[in-house]
Amino acid sequence: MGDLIYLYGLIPTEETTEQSFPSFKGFDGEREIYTLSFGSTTAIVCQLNAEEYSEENIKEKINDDMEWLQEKAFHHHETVVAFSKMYTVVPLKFCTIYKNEESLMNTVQTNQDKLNSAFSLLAGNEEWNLKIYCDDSLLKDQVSKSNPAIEEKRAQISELPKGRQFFEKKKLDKLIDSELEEEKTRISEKIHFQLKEFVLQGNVKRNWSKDVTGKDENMTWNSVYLIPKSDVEPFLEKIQQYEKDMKETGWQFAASGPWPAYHFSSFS
Amino acid sequence: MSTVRETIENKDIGLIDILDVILDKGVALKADLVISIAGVDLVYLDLRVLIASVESLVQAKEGNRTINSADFDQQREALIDATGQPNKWQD
Repeated sequence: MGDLIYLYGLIPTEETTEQSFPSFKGFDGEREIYTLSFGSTTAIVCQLNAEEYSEENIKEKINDDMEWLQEKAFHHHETVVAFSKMYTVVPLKFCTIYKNEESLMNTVQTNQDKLNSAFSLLAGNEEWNLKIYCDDSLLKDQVSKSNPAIEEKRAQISELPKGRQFFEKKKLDKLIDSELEEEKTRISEKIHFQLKEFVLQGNVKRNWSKDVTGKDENMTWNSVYLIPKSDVEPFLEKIQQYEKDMKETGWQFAASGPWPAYHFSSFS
Repeated sequence: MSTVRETIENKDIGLIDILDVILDKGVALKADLVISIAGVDLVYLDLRVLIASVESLVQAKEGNRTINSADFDQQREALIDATGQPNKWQD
């Protein structure tokens, strides 16, 4: 059996003539990364031993060998990041492996049109991630004090007999919680739309639970943006301004990037 | 003075952030002969399990997760106390 081809990303061939290709070690830590040109698209690849990196072996490693997954995930990420600094890269998913050069070539050629439009969308732009966190207790206090519906309910309860008050207060707590969630979404959405002024595209992702983030505060927003390079600085300054203005009310902002454009180059 | 960009760019990105992106996103160019690791979606969905294994990996590296028999006995006694069960393990 011949060697397999691990594909990191695809770049426009025209960009490869502008600078020499850097030397990096491949997925197995031994063989070098190199390029394969198929017309207007060039693939960034390395070779892998077909037995060692069979589908079963890789699946087993991903499921059972955290140390391996950690090492290889960082390798994939760092490699794609390094190339993203030099070229317009359409990044591939982790462990995209072809049986041989021909199968890769056929796939690239079949998708040539889609790749060309991906390249023109991504050229000169960067992907950035924003996560917003909120200290619920601080905001809850605020919601509880400043919401007219809650205020009115509270006044009504104070006039009830003691026994009824207990149950009505429980109901009121529930109302405060749902108002709190709405308030969090409302504020986050407003920020998202204000940030869209700086960006070409913005996608909302799933929030992570506290188990995942390991933070005391709840994640209230998780989004990715495709931003023209020249607008990245004002975009980040805007986030910094939110952070400054909203810190005391329990809000936190975490921007990260530039990421390879994973969220803006997928086509199906 | 450094820009906001430079400050953020130099921050370390965590494993979870990377896995969240590279396992779930990016182009999936499928052909007859491609090996695509579809199973990784399972890993993604069960991110919590994954984190637990990362944590145990970190702890194992720190080398302070060995339980000795004295600790074990102590925990057993505490449990017996708490549950009010008769001690079957009287030595």
